[in-house]
Amino acid sequence: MNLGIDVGNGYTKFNEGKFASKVKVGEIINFGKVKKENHQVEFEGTKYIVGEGASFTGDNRYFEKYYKLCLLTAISLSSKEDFIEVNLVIGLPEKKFKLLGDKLQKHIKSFGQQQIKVNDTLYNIRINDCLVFIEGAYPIKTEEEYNVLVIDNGAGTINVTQWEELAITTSASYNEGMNKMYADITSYLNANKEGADFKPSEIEKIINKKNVIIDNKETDISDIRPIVENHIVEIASYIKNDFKVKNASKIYLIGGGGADTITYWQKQFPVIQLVENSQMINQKIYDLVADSEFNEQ
Amino acid sequence: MSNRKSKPIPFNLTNKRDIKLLEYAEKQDIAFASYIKNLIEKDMVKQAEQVENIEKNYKTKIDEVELKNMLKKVLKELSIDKADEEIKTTNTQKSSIKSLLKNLNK
Repeated sequence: MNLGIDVGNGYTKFNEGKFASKVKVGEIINFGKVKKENHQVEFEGTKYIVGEGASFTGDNRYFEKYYKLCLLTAISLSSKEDFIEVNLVIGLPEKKFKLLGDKLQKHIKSFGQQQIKVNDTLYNIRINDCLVFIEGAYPIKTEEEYNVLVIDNGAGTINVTQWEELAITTSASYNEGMNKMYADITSYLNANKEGADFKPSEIEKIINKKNVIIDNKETDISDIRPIVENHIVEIASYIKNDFKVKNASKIYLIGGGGADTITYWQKQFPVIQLVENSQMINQKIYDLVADSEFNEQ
Repeated sequence: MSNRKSKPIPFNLTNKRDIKLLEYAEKQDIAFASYIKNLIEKDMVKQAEQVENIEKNYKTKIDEVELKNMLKKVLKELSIDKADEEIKTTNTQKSSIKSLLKNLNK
Protein backbone atom coordinates (compact mmCIF):
# COMPACT_ATOMS: atom_id res chain seq x y z
CA MET A 1 0.00 0.00 0.00
CA ASN A 2 1.03 3.61 -0.60
CA LEU A 3 0.89 5.86 2.44
CA GLY A 4 1.57 9.49 3.23
CA ILE A 5 2.35 10.08 6.91
CA ASP A 6 3.10 13.41 8.55
CA VAL A 7 5.05 12.92 11.79
CA GLY A 8 4.77 16.52 12.97
CA ASN A 9 6.24 18.12 16.07
CA GLY A 10 2.74 18.26 17.56
CA TYR A 11 0.75 15.44 16.00
CA THR A 12 1.31 12.43 13.78
CA LYS A 13 -1.25 12.56 10.99
CA PHE A 14 -2.22 9.59 8.81
CA ASN A 15 -5.19 8.72 6.61
CA GLU A 16 -7.18 7.26 9.52
CA GLY A 17 -6.64 10.12 11.96
CA LYS A 18 -4.00 11.52 14.27
CA PHE A 19 -2.31 11.14 17.64
CA ALA A 20 0.06 13.42 19.57
CA SER A 21 3.70 12.87 18.55
CA LYS A 22 4.59 11.85 22.08
CA VAL A 23 5.86 8.59 23.52
CA LYS A 24 6.48 7.20 26.99
CA VAL A 25 7.50 3.84 28.31
CA GLY A 26 4.64 2.16 30.15
CA GLU A 27 1.19 0.66 29.94
CA ILE A 28 -2.20 2.30 29.56
CA ILE A 29 -4.17 1.79 32.77
CA ASN A 30 -7.68 0.83 31.80
CA PHE A 31 -9.58 2.62 34.53
CA GLY A 32 -12.53 4.46 33.11
CA LYS A 33 -12.20 6.17 29.78
CA VAL A 34 -9.06 5.57 27.73
CA LYS A 35 -8.12 8.45 25.45
CA LYS A 36 -8.87 7.45 21.86
CA GLU A 37 -5.68 9.01 20.59
CA ASN A 38 -3.43 7.01 22.94
CA HIS A 39 -2.14 3.65 21.72
CA GLN A 40 -0.56 0.79 23.60
CA VAL A 41 2.50 -0.28 21.66
CA GLU A 42 5.03 -3.04 22.18
CA PHE A 43 8.28 -2.79 20.24
CA GLU A 44 11.50 -4.75 20.66
CA GLY A 45 10.33 -6.13 24.01
CA THR A 46 9.37 -2.78 25.57
CA LYS A 47 5.88 -1.44 26.18
CA TYR A 48 5.17 2.15 25.21
CA ILE A 49 2.22 4.52 25.25
CA VAL A 50 2.14 6.38 21.94
CA GLY A 51 0.16 9.64 22.12
CA GLU A 52 1.34 10.84 25.52
CA GLY A 53 4.66 11.46 27.25
CA ALA A 54 7.68 13.20 25.84
CA SER A 55 7.72 14.93 22.47
CA PHE A 56 10.78 14.84 20.22
CA THR A 57 11.84 17.99 18.40
CA GLY A 58 14.93 19.41 16.70
CA ASP A 59 16.88 18.32 13.62
CA ASN A 60 17.75 14.95 15.09
CA ARG A 61 14.12 14.02 15.80
CA TYR A 62 13.78 12.17 12.49
CA PHE A 63 16.46 9.70 13.57
CA GLU A 64 15.22 9.12 17.12
CA LYS A 65 13.50 5.95 18.26
CA TYR A 66 10.31 7.83 19.15
CA TYR A 67 9.96 9.10 15.55
CA LYS A 68 10.25 5.51 14.36
CA LEU A 69 7.63 4.39 16.93
CA CYS A 70 5.16 7.08 15.82
CA LEU A 71 5.76 6.21 12.17
CA LEU A 72 5.30 2.45 12.67
CA THR A 73 2.21 3.05 14.85
CA ALA A 74 0.67 5.26 12.16
CA ILE A 75 1.42 2.65 9.46
CA SER A 76 -0.22 -0.05 11.62
CA LEU A 77 -3.31 2.06 12.27
CA SER A 78 -3.60 2.87 8.54
CA SER A 79 -4.06 -0.76 7.53
CA LYS A 80 -6.79 -3.33 7.97
CA GLU A 81 -4.19 -6.09 7.40
CA ASP A 82 -1.58 -7.22 9.91
CA PHE A 83 1.09 -7.87 7.29
CA ILE A 84 1.78 -4.55 5.64
CA GLU A 85 4.01 -3.85 2.65
CA VAL A 86 4.25 -0.13 2.33
CA ASN A 87 5.62 2.58 0.06
CA LEU A 88 5.95 5.61 2.24
CA VAL A 89 5.96 9.38 1.74
CA ILE A 90 7.03 11.55 4.67
CA GLY A 91 7.97 15.22 4.89
CA LEU A 92 10.60 17.75 5.89
CA PRO A 93 10.52 21.55 5.95
CA GLU A 94 11.88 22.83 2.63
CA LYS A 95 14.82 24.47 4.43
CA LYS A 96 15.90 21.14 5.89
CA PHE A 97 15.43 19.10 2.72
CA LYS A 98 18.93 19.59 1.31
CA LEU A 99 20.57 18.81 4.63
CA LEU A 100 18.44 15.88 5.74
CA GLY A 101 16.40 14.61 2.77
CA ASP A 102 18.78 11.90 1.52
CA LYS A 103 19.86 10.87 4.99
CA LEU A 104 16.26 10.49 6.16
CA GLN A 105 15.23 8.49 3.09
CA LYS A 106 18.14 6.05 3.60
CA HIS A 107 17.36 5.83 7.32
CA ILE A 108 13.70 4.92 6.76
CA LYS A 109 14.53 2.45 3.98
CA SER A 110 17.01 0.76 6.33
CA PHE A 111 14.11 -0.23 8.63
CA GLY A 112 13.35 -3.10 6.23
CA GLN A 113 10.98 -5.43 8.04
CA GLN A 114 9.72 -4.50 11.50
CA GLN A 115 7.38 -6.11 14.00
CA ILE A 116 5.22 -3.99 16.30
CA LYS A 117 2.20 -4.67 18.51
CA VAL A 118 -0.36 -1.87 18.46
CA ASN A 119 -3.47 -2.11 20.66
CA ASP A 120 -3.10 -5.91 20.99
CA THR A 121 -2.60 -6.58 17.27
CA LEU A 122 0.79 -7.75 16.09
CA TYR A 123 1.79 -6.11 12.80
CA ASN A 124 4.60 -7.10 10.43
CA ILE A 125 5.62 -4.05 8.43
CA ARG A 126 7.89 -4.10 5.41
CA ILE A 127 8.90 -0.71 4.07
CA ASN A 128 9.54 -1.33 0.38
CA ASP A 129 10.23 2.25 -0.58
CA CYS A 130 10.32 5.70 0.96
CA LEU A 131 10.21 9.17 -0.50
CA VAL A 132 10.87 12.37 1.39
CA PHE A 133 8.78 15.33 0.25
CA ILE A 134 8.48 18.90 1.56
CA GLU A 135 5.97 20.41 3.95
CA GLY A 136 3.60 23.16 2.86
CA ALA A 137 3.30 22.20 -0.81
CA TYR A 138 -0.36 23.23 -0.85
CA PRO A 139 -0.32 24.70 -4.41
CA ILE A 140 0.50 21.18 -5.70
CA LYS A 141 -2.87 20.07 -4.35
CA THR A 142 -4.82 23.04 -5.70
CA GLU A 143 -2.80 23.26 -8.96
CA GLU A 144 -2.43 27.03 -8.58
CA GLU A 145 0.22 28.33 -10.94
CA TYR A 146 0.18 31.96 -9.85
CA ASN A 147 2.16 33.54 -7.04
CA VAL A 148 0.96 32.27 -3.65
CA LEU A 149 2.34 32.35 -0.14
CA VAL A 150 1.84 29.36 2.18
CA ILE A 151 2.28 29.76 5.93
CA ASP A 152 2.49 26.42 7.73
CA ASN A 153 1.83 27.26 11.38
CA GLY A 154 3.05 24.04 12.97
CA ALA A 155 3.69 23.01 16.56
CA GLY A 156 7.47 23.23 16.41
CA THR A 157 8.20 25.61 13.56
CA ILE A 158 6.47 28.01 11.22
CA ASN A 159 7.50 27.17 7.66
CA VAL A 160 6.76 29.67 4.93
CA THR A 161 7.06 29.09 1.19
CA GLN A 162 6.34 31.38 -1.74
CA TRP A 163 5.32 29.70 -4.99
CA GLU A 164 5.09 30.66 -8.61
CA GLU A 165 4.17 28.32 -11.45
CA LEU A 166 4.09 25.47 -8.94
CA ALA A 167 7.75 25.96 -8.03
CA ILE A 168 9.19 27.39 -4.82
CA THR A 169 10.72 30.83 -5.20
CA THR A 170 11.51 31.58 -1.52
CA SER A 171 11.29 29.64 1.72
CA ALA A 172 12.04 30.13 5.39
CA SER A 173 11.63 28.22 8.61
CA TYR A 174 11.08 30.06 11.91
CA ASN A 175 11.47 28.35 15.26
CA GLU A 176 8.57 30.24 16.84
CA GLY A 177 5.91 27.57 16.40
CA MET A 178 2.96 26.90 18.71
CA ASN A 179 5.16 25.10 21.27
CA LYS A 180 7.19 28.26 21.97
CA MET A 181 3.99 30.27 22.33
CA TYR A 182 2.48 27.63 24.66
CA ALA A 183 5.65 27.86 26.80
CA ASP A 184 5.37 31.68 26.98
CA ILE A 185 1.69 31.48 27.93
CA THR A 186 2.44 28.81 30.58
CA SER A 187 5.09 31.03 32.20
CA TYR A 188 2.71 34.00 32.16
CA LEU A 189 -0.27 32.14 33.66
CA ASN A 190 1.77 30.38 36.34
CA ALA A 191 3.37 33.70 37.37
CA ASN A 192 0.22 35.83 37.26
CA LYS A 193 -2.78 33.66 38.18
CA GLU A 194 -3.08 32.56 41.78
CA GLY A 195 -2.86 28.78 42.13
CA ALA A 196 -2.05 28.23 38.45
CA ASP A 197 0.13 25.24 37.64
CA PHE A 198 -0.14 24.79 33.90
CA LYS A 199 2.02 22.66 31.62
CA PRO A 200 2.67 23.82 28.02
CA SER A 201 0.77 20.76 26.74
CA GLU A 202 -2.41 22.04 28.44
CA ILE A 203 -2.43 25.43 26.70
CA GLU A 204 -3.71 24.17 23.32
CA LYS A 205 -7.14 23.48 24.88
CA ILE A 206 -7.53 26.88 26.56
CA ILE A 207 -5.83 29.28 24.16
CA ASN A 208 -9.09 30.80 22.86
CA LYS A 209 -11.11 30.52 26.07
CA LYS A 210 -12.09 33.56 28.08
CA ASN A 211 -12.42 31.81 31.43
CA VAL A 212 -10.95 28.62 32.88
CA ILE A 213 -11.08 27.02 36.32
CA ILE A 214 -7.86 27.66 38.24
CA ASP A 215 -7.63 26.45 41.83
CA ASN A 216 -11.41 25.84 41.88
CA LYS A 217 -12.13 29.41 40.82
CA GLU A 218 -13.38 30.63 37.47
CA THR A 219 -10.55 32.83 36.24
CA ASP A 220 -10.43 35.26 33.35
CA ILE A 221 -7.50 34.37 31.07
CA SER A 222 -8.31 36.70 28.18
CA ASP A 223 -5.11 38.59 29.08
CA ILE A 224 -3.11 35.83 27.35
CA ARG A 225 -4.41 37.09 24.01
CA PRO A 226 -1.78 39.84 23.68
CA ILE A 227 0.88 37.10 24.04
CA VAL A 228 -0.63 35.25 21.08
CA GLU A 229 -0.95 38.50 19.18
CA ASN A 230 2.69 39.50 19.85
CA HIS A 231 3.85 36.08 18.76
CA ILE A 232 2.02 36.33 15.42
CA VAL A 233 3.08 39.99 14.93
CA GLU A 234 6.71 38.94 15.38
CA ILE A 235 6.51 36.10 12.83
CA ALA A 236 4.52 38.29 10.43
CA SER A 237 7.25 40.94 10.56
CA TYR A 238 9.85 38.31 9.61
CA ILE A 239 7.62 37.15 6.75
CA LYS A 240 7.08 40.74 5.54
CA ASN A 241 10.87 41.19 5.44
CA ASP A 242 11.82 37.84 3.92
CA PHE A 243 9.06 37.45 1.31
CA LYS A 244 7.49 39.46 -1.45
CA VAL A 245 4.14 39.35 0.27
CA LYS A 246 2.56 41.98 -2.00
CA ASN A 247 3.27 39.83 -5.08
CA ALA A 248 1.18 36.97 -3.71
CA SER A 249 -2.29 36.66 -5.17
CA LYS A 250 -3.30 34.47 -2.24
CA ILE A 251 -1.94 33.75 1.23
CA TYR A 252 -2.83 30.38 2.71
CA LEU A 253 -2.61 29.36 6.35
CA ILE A 254 -2.16 25.65 7.04
CA GLY A 255 -0.83 23.56 9.95
CA GLY A 256 -2.14 22.47 13.34
CA GLY A 257 -1.84 25.95 14.84
CA GLY A 258 -3.78 27.58 11.99
CA ALA A 259 -7.33 27.30 13.34
CA ASP A 260 -6.40 28.72 16.77
CA THR A 261 -4.51 31.70 15.37
CA ILE A 262 -6.34 32.68 12.18
CA THR A 263 -7.91 35.82 13.70
CA TYR A 264 -4.46 37.10 14.71
CA TRP A 265 -2.98 36.30 11.27
CA GLN A 266 -5.88 38.15 9.62
CA LYS A 267 -4.85 41.35 11.40
CA GLN A 268 -1.40 41.06 9.78
CA PHE A 269 -2.48 39.74 6.38
CA PRO A 270 -6.13 40.62 5.71
CA VAL A 271 -6.29 38.36 2.63
CA ILE A 272 -5.04 35.24 4.45
CA GLN A 273 -7.29 32.19 4.18
CA LEU A 274 -7.36 29.25 6.56
CA VAL A 275 -7.28 26.11 4.44
CA GLU A 276 -10.04 23.62 5.23
CA ASN A 277 -8.75 20.69 7.26
CA SER A 278 -5.57 22.72 7.75
CA GLN A 279 -3.92 20.32 10.18
CA MET A 280 -4.16 17.35 7.80
CA ILE A 281 -3.10 19.14 4.61
CA ASN A 282 0.54 17.99 4.53
CA GLN A 283 -0.55 14.38 5.05
CA LYS A 284 -3.10 14.67 2.22
CA ILE A 285 -0.37 16.05 -0.07
CA TYR A 286 1.96 13.17 0.86
CA ASP A 287 -0.87 10.78 -0.09
CA LEU A 288 -1.03 12.50 -3.50
CA VAL A 289 2.75 12.19 -3.90
CA ALA A 290 2.62 8.51 -2.93
CA ASP A 291 -0.10 7.89 -5.52
CA SER A 292 1.83 9.81 -8.16
CA GLU A 293 5.27 8.32 -7.53
CA PHE A 294 4.54 4.75 -6.49
CA ASN A 295 1.56 3.82 -8.62
CA GLU A 296 3.59 3.97 -11.81
CA GLN A 297 6.01 1.33 -10.63
CA MET B 1 -80.70 12.19 38.96
CA SER B 2 -78.96 9.08 40.30
CA ASN B 3 -75.23 9.28 40.91
CA ARG B 4 -74.75 5.68 39.77
CA LYS B 5 -74.45 4.19 36.34
CA SER B 6 -74.94 0.49 35.69
CA LYS B 7 -73.68 -1.46 32.67
CA PRO B 8 -75.31 -4.88 32.46
CA ILE B 9 -73.19 -7.64 30.92
CA PRO B 10 -75.30 -10.32 29.23
CA PHE B 11 -73.91 -13.84 28.97
CA ASN B 12 -75.35 -16.21 26.38
CA LEU B 13 -75.86 -19.53 28.13
CA THR B 14 -75.77 -21.41 24.85
CA ASN B 15 -72.30 -20.01 23.95
CA LYS B 16 -69.34 -22.06 25.29
CA ARG B 17 -67.05 -19.06 25.61
CA ASP B 18 -69.64 -17.01 27.53
CA ILE B 19 -70.33 -19.92 29.89
CA LYS B 20 -66.61 -20.38 30.54
CA LEU B 21 -66.12 -16.67 31.27
CA LEU B 22 -69.17 -16.47 33.54
CA GLU B 23 -68.14 -19.56 35.52
CA TYR B 24 -64.64 -18.22 35.97
CA ALA B 25 -65.89 -14.80 37.11
CA GLU B 26 -68.30 -16.29 39.61
CA LYS B 27 -65.53 -18.38 41.20
CA GLN B 28 -63.64 -15.19 42.22
CA ASP B 29 -63.78 -14.12 45.85
CA ILE B 30 -64.89 -10.60 45.06
CA ALA B 31 -68.14 -9.12 43.83
CA PHE B 32 -68.69 -9.34 40.09
CA ALA B 33 -68.75 -5.56 39.61
CA SER B 34 -65.48 -5.08 41.57
CA TYR B 35 -63.90 -7.87 39.52
CA ILE B 36 -64.81 -6.15 36.27
CA LYS B 37 -63.52 -2.78 37.58
CA ASN B 38 -60.20 -4.44 38.55
CA LEU B 39 -59.93 -5.92 35.05
CA ILE B 40 -60.56 -2.53 33.46
CA GLU B 41 -57.95 -0.94 35.72
CA LYS B 42 -55.35 -3.59 34.83
CA ASP B 43 -56.07 -3.05 31.14
CA MET B 44 -55.64 0.71 31.57
CA VAL B 45 -52.19 0.23 33.17
CA LYS B 46 -51.18 -2.26 30.47
CA GLN B 47 -52.27 0.11 27.68
CA ALA B 48 -50.38 3.01 29.26
CA GLU B 49 -47.24 0.84 29.58
CA GLN B 50 -47.52 -0.15 25.93
CA VAL B 51 -47.82 3.47 24.84
CA GLU B 52 -44.86 4.35 27.06
CA ASN B 53 -42.78 1.51 25.56
CA ILE B 54 -43.64 2.56 22.02
CA GLU B 55 -42.65 6.13 22.84
CA LYS B 56 -39.45 4.96 24.54
CA ASN B 57 -38.47 2.76 21.54
CA TYR B 58 -39.27 5.58 19.17
CA LYS B 59 -37.16 8.03 21.21
CA THR B 60 -34.27 5.54 21.33
CA LYS B 61 -34.49 5.17 17.55
CA ILE B 62 -34.56 8.95 17.09
CA ASP B 63 -31.61 9.33 19.49
CA GLU B 64 -29.69 6.69 17.53
CA VAL B 65 -30.38 8.43 14.23
CA GLU B 66 -29.44 11.79 15.72
CA LEU B 67 -26.26 10.35 17.23
CA LYS B 68 -25.32 8.71 13.91
CA ASN B 69 -25.88 11.98 12.06
CA MET B 70 -23.90 13.87 14.67
CA LEU B 71 -21.02 11.38 14.46
CA LYS B 72 -21.06 11.56 10.67
CA LYS B 73 -20.85 15.35 10.91
CA VAL B 74 -17.97 15.24 13.40
CA LEU B 75 -16.11 12.61 11.34
CA LYS B 76 -16.64 14.70 8.24
CA GLU B 77 -15.27 17.75 10.01
CA LEU B 78 -12.28 15.81 11.21
CA SER B 79 -12.03 14.17 7.78
CA ILE B 80 -11.16 10.85 9.33
CA ASP B 81 -14.06 9.13 7.60
CA LYS B 82 -12.25 9.37 4.32
CA ALA B 83 -10.01 6.36 4.88
CA ASP B 84 -11.44 4.51 1.92
CA GLU B 85 -11.59 7.57 -0.25
CA GLU B 86 -9.67 6.96 -3.44
CA ILE B 87 -6.64 9.16 -3.90
CA LYS B 88 -6.18 10.14 -7.49
CA THR B 89 -3.60 12.55 -8.73
CA THR B 90 -4.25 14.63 -11.83
CA ASN B 91 -1.70 14.95 -14.64
CA THR B 92 -0.89 18.54 -13.57
CA GLN B 93 -0.29 17.37 -10.01
CA LYS B 94 1.90 14.49 -11.24
CA SER B 95 4.06 16.71 -13.43
CA SER B 96 4.40 19.39 -10.74
CA ILE B 97 5.37 16.76 -8.13
CA LYS B 98 8.00 15.38 -10.52
CA SER B 99 9.46 18.76 -11.33
CA LEU B 100 9.45 19.80 -7.67
CA LEU B 101 11.27 16.61 -6.67
CA LYS B 102 13.77 17.16 -9.48
CA ASN B 103 14.46 20.72 -8.29
CA LEU B 104 14.70 19.66 -4.66
CA ASN B 105 17.20 16.93 -5.47
CA LYS B 106 19.42 19.19 -7.61
